[in-house]
Amino acid sequence: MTDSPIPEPADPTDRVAAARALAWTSTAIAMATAFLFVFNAASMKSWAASLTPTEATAKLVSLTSAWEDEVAKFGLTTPRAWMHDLWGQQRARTWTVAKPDDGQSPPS
Amino acid sequence: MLFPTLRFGLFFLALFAAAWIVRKPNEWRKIILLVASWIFYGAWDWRFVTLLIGSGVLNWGVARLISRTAGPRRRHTLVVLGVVANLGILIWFKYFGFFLGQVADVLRFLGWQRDLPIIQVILPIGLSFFTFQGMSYLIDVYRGKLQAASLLNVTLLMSFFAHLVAGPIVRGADLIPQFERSPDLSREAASLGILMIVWGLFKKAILASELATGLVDPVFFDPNAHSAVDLIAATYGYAVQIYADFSAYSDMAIGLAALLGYRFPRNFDQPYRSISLQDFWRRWHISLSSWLRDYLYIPLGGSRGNVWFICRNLMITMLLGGLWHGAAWKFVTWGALHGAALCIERIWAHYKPARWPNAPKILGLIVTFNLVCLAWIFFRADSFQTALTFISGLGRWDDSALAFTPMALALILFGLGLHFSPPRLIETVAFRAARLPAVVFGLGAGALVLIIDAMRPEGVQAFIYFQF
Repeated sequence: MTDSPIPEPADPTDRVAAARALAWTSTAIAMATAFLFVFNAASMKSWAASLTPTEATAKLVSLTSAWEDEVAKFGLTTPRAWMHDLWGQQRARTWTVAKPDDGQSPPS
Repeated sequence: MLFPTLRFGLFFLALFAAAWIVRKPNEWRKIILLVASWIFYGAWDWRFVTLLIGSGVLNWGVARLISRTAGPRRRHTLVVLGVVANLGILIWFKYFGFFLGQVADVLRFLGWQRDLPIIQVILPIGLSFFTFQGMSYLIDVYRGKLQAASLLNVTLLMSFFAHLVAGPIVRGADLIPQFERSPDLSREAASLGILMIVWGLFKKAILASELATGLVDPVFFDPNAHSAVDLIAATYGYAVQIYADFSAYSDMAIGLAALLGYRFPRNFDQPYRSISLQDFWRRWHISLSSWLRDYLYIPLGGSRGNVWFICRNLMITMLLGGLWHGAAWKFVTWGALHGAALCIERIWAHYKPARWPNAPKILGLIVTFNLVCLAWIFFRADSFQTALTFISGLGRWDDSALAFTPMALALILFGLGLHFSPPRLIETVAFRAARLPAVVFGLGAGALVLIIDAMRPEGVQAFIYFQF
C-alpha cells in the first residue's frame, strides 16, 4: 500500500473492537449532525431557498424557516450570527487608518 | 454535488448508514457504493455516467484478456490497445478542440485559410483522473503487479465517488485488495477521517474561497488595473489558494473514504517547505507525480543514463504533465518551467565542483518557492498573453487602490505557515482526540463546522481541479 495517513485497525480479526469503533463513529457523526441541526438553522434555510422552486422545495423552505424561527426564540442562532458578523468586519478592514475628527474642518 | 454543501452532507449521511448496515455480504455493499457513486457523478451530467461505466467495462475486459493471454507479444499488443483506447477517450473529450485550433492556426500561418469544423466537446468532470486510473490498472495487470479483478471491483475502482472528480489518483494495486475484503473501522481512522473532512472544509471554504474572491480573481481578471503590490500579493495568494483548494479536496476524499473503511494514499506533504523542485514534486499532488514517474518517466529511461538523457526524460514528463492539466499553451508553459528547473537542478548537481559547498537549505527553499509561484502565474492566468501582461506589471509601482487587504495578508501568512507546522500534526491531534467520548468528539466537530460555516463567503466555488 502506498503511504496513507489513515491507520489500519490494530487487529483486523478483533470483531468486538471493530463494532465498538463503528458505534463510536456513528455516535460522533450523529452528535455533530444534531448540533448543526440546532445551531446552524440559518444555513439550512439558505440552502433550501437556493433549491429550484417546486412544490416540495417550497414546503422545505417553509419548514426550515419555521425551524430557524423556533430555535431563534431560545437564542440558538446567536453564536453563528455573531461569528458571521465578526468575520465580516475583519473582511471589510483595509490598510487606511481613519483619522479622528479634529473639529476644525469647515462646515459644509 | 460539491463536498462542502449540505446536499452532499445529506447524501453522505445516507450512504454511510447504508454502507455499514449492509456491511455483509461485501458484494452488496460495493453495489451500494457503486450506485451511489453514479448518482454523485450523474448530479453533474447523467450522460457521462455511461462514459464512466463504458470506461470501466473497457478496462475490465482488456485486463481479463491480458491475464488470459500467455504470449508476451500478444499481451504487449493488448496493453498498448487498452492504453490507446483510454488515451483516445481523453484526447477526444479534452484535446480534440485544442489540436484542431492549432492546425487551423498553422494553416492560416502558411496562407492556407481553411474553415475547419468547429466541434464543441463538453469535458466530462474528472476525466483525466479516471482515465489515468484505468491506464495504471491495465499496466499493473500487464506487469504482473495485480491480478485482473472482477467487473464490480474495476468499475468501483474507477467510479468511487470519493476520488472520482479530483483524485487522489488511487491505483488498483492500492484499492482493489481493499475492495476484496469486508472493511473495518478503527477509532483512530474514524477520528482522523472526520478531522480531515473538517480541516478540508476549512481550507476550501475559508482559505481558498476568501483568497479567490477577495484578491486572486479580481487581480488576475485585469492585471493592468493593479499595482505591483497587488500582483505580488495575488501571486502568493494564488499559491496558497491552489494548495488550500486542492489539498482540501484530497483531505476530504481521504476522510470520506476512511469513514467507509478504505484507505487512500497521501496526496500532499507540506509542498512549500521544499528545498528543491525535485523535493516539491515529492510533496505536491503525490498521486500524479508518482503516476508520471512510474508509467512515463521510468519507461522513458528514467535516471538510467547521462545527465542530458535524464533531462530529456524530465522535460517530456513535465511537458506531458502540464498538458494533462489542460489543453492550453499556458499549461504547457507551466510544465516546461518545472521541467527546465528540474533539469537545471540535475545539471548543477552533476557539474558542480565537488569542493564547492552546498547552498544553504533556506536559500533552496526561497528559490524553489518563488520559482513555483512564477510558474503558478501561467497556470492561473486566463491565457498565455494574460500571464505575460501580469509578469510585466510586477515592476509597476504606483498608488492605485489596493485589492490586497489585511485579511488577505493574514490568510497568506497562515496558509504558508501551515507548511512549517510539525509534520503529521493532524494525525497526532486525531489520534489523541480518538480517546475522547464519542459525544464530546461529535459536539466538538459540530462546533468546528458551525464556525467554518459562519465564516465562509456566500456560495461554494467549484474546486480548481474539477476542470482537469
